[in-house]
Amino acid sequence: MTVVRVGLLVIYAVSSYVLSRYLRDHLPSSSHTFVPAWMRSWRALVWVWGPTLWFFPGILWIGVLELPALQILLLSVCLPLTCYVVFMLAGGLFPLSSSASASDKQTSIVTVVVVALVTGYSLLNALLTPELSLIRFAVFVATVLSPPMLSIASLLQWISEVVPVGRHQERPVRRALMMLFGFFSTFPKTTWVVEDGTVHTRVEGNQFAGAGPGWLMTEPENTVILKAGPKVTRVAGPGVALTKRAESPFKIIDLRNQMRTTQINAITRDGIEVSVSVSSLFRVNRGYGEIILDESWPYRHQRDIFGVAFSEEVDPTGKSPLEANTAYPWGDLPLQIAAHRMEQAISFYSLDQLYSGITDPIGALDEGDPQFQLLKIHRQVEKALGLPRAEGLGDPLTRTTIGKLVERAVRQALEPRGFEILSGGIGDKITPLNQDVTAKRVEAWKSRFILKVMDWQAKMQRRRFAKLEDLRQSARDTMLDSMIKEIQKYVGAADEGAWRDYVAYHLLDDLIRMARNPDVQEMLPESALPTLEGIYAQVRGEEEFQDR
Amino acid sequence: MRLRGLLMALTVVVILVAFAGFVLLALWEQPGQLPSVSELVTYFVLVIGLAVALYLGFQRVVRVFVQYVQAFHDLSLDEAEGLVNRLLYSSRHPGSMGVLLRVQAGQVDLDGPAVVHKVGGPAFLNVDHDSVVVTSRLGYLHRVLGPGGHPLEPFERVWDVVDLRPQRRTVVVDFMTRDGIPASCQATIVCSIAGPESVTVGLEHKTHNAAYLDYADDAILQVSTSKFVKRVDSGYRVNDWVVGMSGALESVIRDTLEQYTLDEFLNPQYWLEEDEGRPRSAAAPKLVSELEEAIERDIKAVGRERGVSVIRVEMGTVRPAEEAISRQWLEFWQAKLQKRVDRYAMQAEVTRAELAVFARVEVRVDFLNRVLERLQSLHGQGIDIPGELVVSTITEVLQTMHRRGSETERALYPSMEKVESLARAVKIIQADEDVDALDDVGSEQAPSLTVDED
Repeated sequence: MTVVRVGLLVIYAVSSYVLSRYLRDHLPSSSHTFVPAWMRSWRALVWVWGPTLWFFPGILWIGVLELPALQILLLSVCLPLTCYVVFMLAGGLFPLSSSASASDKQTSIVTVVVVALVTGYSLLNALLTPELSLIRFAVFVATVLSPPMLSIASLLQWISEVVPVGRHQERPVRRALMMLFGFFSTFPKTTWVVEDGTVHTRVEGNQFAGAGPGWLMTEPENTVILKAGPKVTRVAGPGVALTKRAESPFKIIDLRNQMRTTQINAITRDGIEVSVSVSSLFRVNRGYGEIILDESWPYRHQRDIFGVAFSEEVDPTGKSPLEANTAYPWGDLPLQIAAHRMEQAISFYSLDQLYSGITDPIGALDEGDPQFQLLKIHRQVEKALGLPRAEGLGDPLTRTTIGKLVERAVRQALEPRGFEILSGGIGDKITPLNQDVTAKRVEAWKSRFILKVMDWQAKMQRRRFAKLEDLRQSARDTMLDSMIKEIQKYVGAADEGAWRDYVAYHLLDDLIRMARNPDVQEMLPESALPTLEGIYAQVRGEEEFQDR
Repeated sequence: MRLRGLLMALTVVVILVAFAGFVLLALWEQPGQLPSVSELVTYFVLVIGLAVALYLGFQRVVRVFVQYVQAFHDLSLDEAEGLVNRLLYSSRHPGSMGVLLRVQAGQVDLDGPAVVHKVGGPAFLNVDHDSVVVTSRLGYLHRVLGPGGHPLEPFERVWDVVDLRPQRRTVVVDFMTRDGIPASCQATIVCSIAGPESVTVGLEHKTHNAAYLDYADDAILQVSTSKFVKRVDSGYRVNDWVVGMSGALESVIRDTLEQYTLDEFLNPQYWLEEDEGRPRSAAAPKLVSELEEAIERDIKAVGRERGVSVIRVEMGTVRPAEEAISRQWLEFWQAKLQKRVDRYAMQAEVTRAELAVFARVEVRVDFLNRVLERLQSLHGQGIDIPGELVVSTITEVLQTMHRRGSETERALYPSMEKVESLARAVKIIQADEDVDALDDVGSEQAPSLTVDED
């Protein structure tokens, strides 16, 4: 018998090792056939603890304990099994809850009662055996029960470390146990993880069991709308959420700041087509919530999440028939509204006005001010976009004012639907589509530039000419003045013959002056000037004589 | 967790020891009786059998966890085993983790253990001096971890890494001047995470001094959570805080520069006047340094709101995008160059004029010599020279010289008009005409040999 016992021990060790090695590489797979709920629990029990071959330590007592071998075998099987069943019952792992079907409940109860009865009967039968040593029986029972007890204790000890069920969950250990045993029941609970904004199914649920209940974890910045069949149920996350029966993720909403930009073409009131970059910065309405560590990423209300998600619009334009019914993502909506509002706004302005602005907001209120017209147009746009009158519209750039007006229009349209518009407007320069327009503006600039340069040159020239003319005038005046004086001096001469000498006298005078020029004098003989002066004196003498 | 593991192991040992004792008591109820070999073997078989059963009971739980974790986190078997071991047995000691994830230069080591990227801790996180990590745990932002070693809690993952080093980005801002001319301007921003003194938001101002790279937890959390998700052609892209600041800089620069016309940035005319020392009629162009100062002030305000400290902003010059503008300026430059050429030409003209003056002097000397030659002989002989003779001599010399060419005439008389009027006057004298005729000449042009003063 001892040899048999040793052989059994060896078989126990070897078979458990082989079984363990085999199961190591074989994960439980989802059942392809329908299995009743009560049977799933038993399957889970067998999958979890079956490989421990829990009856072996008991059968080693055959021949030691004063009981028949069959009875020892029965006790070795039933006592640990009862232990496991009790644990599973306490953990709610048998379908006995109100949500379970009546047949599942009944069958579960029957199977559990059968196990209990068999165990009770075996125990009673053993205890009533007269030759049974009680101390040996007690040690036997301890031998049979301590491994399952240790196993259950370990499971309870670590389950919450391994299976995260998230915070704020009622009875987290029980929920974790349900997840774990669900996985081994071949009817696993569906497990979803949101990564990079998309739902990934980690553990596929059984097709017969439907979607929920299951486990869902989002990233800190995402929240998920859950749906049970055709009915939208609630918003889950951020964080870990346990889904209820039939619930599955429907849509992920990113709670982070969103930015969208697009390029649109618009026409100014003077018919120039311009390209405008429209941008919109928004997010799901956060209310007064702030992002704090170990707290959920804030959003104002579940209603805002639904509002945002169900604002998606279907537009088949430009799509293939297969995609025609696909809705545009909610994130496209602010930009779509902004684009149309932008087109409307720009049509109020001329191209020149788009590049101008109000540099003096107070002065612009005066009707005589050239900026008044621009301010008036701003007001017209404000009214056309259906906006209430705002205090100040005087920005140094028209582009900025248009951006603000469009932002207000988008806010007015989308804030009731759960959006929080952070900013928006024209994100880049406004460019005329036709290159000729820019070329013309450049030409205009060139003309202005040339005009300025010419103006400047002409001003300089005018100044020079004026100065020269002043000098000439002055010289002319001096010369004429001296001539007139000289002539007047001689006009009074009585004798007619004196006119001949008059000319000679003047000619000589000129010659003397010419000779006195230092440059000329240098080149003349020394006697030249005295000779001229002598002749001059002679002619002058005659003249005086004639005068006399 | 380590303690719990020890307790569990201790429990197993206690059970085993107790069991060994009780089996001994159960098998040999009569004290003093020696067991046979067969009984001893049975004893050891029972004890070993229980030990195996305890081990299998415990090990099965671990194996169940491994299988579940493997499917739950989509891991390989080895990764799952490692993770479960760390979840069950690891302490906060780096050595017990067995897994190390490094973060340096503002990014996670992508070659690090995949399981830490995917599931998170327990693991040991080593953050270099230049980085700060924001972690998440089970869907919540959990901690801000600065430089140093940190044990990651179960399922705690690296959510974001913030680079503490100053960041420099260069942007080219396209804009339209107020007169509608496309232009661009290059600008550079240097910024970093705000230090404790710069933070204006948040409730708690927990600060750290990591060598020279200081930061505040609030600022880190703020820049990490204020990123913008942007839709691009291939999907979505997350713009980090530096991209956000570059965008803000672009916006501030565009809003500022679009308030001016092109000439207010670049005005060659102004500088020409400046060079030539003329009074400035052109408007003074805006200095980039002035604009830079205003823009830096604005962008610093934006940075403060975002938990970012702007270290400096550098701006390049404004460049018109249109080639025509550059061409126009080239033409202006050519005009300036032409002006210099003209100046040289004028100088040559002056030299020529000086030569002309010299020639004029020579002609005058010749003229005087000729007149004197004729009059001097008579004057030397003591003969009285009548005025009529003087006039006729001068006229004769003039006529002689007139035949020599126009240069002589120009040298003597500034204009032919004068020559003609003089000739007419002489004729009048010779013909002894009426005095009235002389009046006419006088009124028209005074007969004079007066030459230009120069």
